[in-house]
Amino acid sequence: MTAISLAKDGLWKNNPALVQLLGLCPLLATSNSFATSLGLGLTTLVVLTLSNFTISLMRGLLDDETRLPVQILVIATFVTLADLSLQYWFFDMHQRIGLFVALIVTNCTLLGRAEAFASKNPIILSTFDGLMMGTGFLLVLLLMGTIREIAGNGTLFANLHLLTGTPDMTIQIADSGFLLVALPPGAFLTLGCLIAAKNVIDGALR
Amino acid sequence: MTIRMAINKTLFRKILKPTLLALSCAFFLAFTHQITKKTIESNQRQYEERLLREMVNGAELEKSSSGYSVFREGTQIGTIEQLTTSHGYNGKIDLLIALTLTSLTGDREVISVRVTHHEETPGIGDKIEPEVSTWIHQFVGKSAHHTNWTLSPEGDIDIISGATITSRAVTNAIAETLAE
Repeated sequence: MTAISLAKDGLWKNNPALVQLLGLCPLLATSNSFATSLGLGLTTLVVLTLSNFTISLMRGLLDDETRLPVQILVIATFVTLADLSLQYWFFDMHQRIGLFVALIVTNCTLLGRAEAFASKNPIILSTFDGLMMGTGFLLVLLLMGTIREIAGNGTLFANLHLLTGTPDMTIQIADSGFLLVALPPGAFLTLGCLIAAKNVIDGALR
Repeated sequence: MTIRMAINKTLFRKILKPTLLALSCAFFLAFTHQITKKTIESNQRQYEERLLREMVNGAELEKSSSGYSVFREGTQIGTIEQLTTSHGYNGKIDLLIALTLTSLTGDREVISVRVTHHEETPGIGDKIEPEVSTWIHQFVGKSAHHTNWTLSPEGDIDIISGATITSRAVTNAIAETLAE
């Protein structure tokens, strides 16, 4: 197992959002703007990398019967830490995505990677796997956030200054948007289109 | 006897390990919570104060029994109250409303209104947020006596198109508070 194949897996071939279809709840809920996508995607990336690292570190220590609850415990601890850090550094952003940060615990990408990879592989590989899977998730989330914000609201980068601390950098592209894209069903439709696009590309490559 | 002891021993170890881990996680989180608590609380306060200050154009505020009292140059000019309506389209709508004091004729005016929490439909009902639309600003200067608190075209209050229920819920909540 090489780093390159891990990167390929996480970013494209086995992408958690487009192929494994894991973690749909936060993916669909926070992808209505670029800023919230970036906030939740980065948080997930950090938590996934840290939890993979820790679970790989303790992999010799755990029994079969108690492995899963301990993994959830580790993930929940990191999510709570991330939640506190967001409130500490990015309070305004936390007001918008706070509800979904707690839901990262239930994002099956994390438990999936912990159980399928980190509990069986050495520390460096596991950490890298977490980083790549997290990046794959973040990129899909950002793509969906961009599409849905432009098509649904006619803006881009609204509220992004809450994360970066710079002046407002909203780009007004149109006066209003196609409402359906901004509503929850729009998230499913957008994700469906992205999966279809990926399959078309895969087909063309083969 | 030895078998039972052996079972007990492995069982004990299997229980002990997660317990110790859970305890160390709890300790770690409690520690972080202690470190971050002060800053998070002050962030929360700043966030609320910024919202309140915006509502009254930077006048001084003092906490009172029902909300806040608003002072300008030492004299009280109004109050800020919190209200909640459950007549919206989905869930509760929490509002902050800044009002002038009751005048000699028994009239009160709206200084400003802000929605602090709602679960109305994104893209339709969320136009009650000042970040999304200017709708909420139409209430500035409206009063208990000189405003017809029914929705347009009969009354003085504009409707958000497609969100009549949301518009009516917010309007009625404000009107009821003014009438008190």
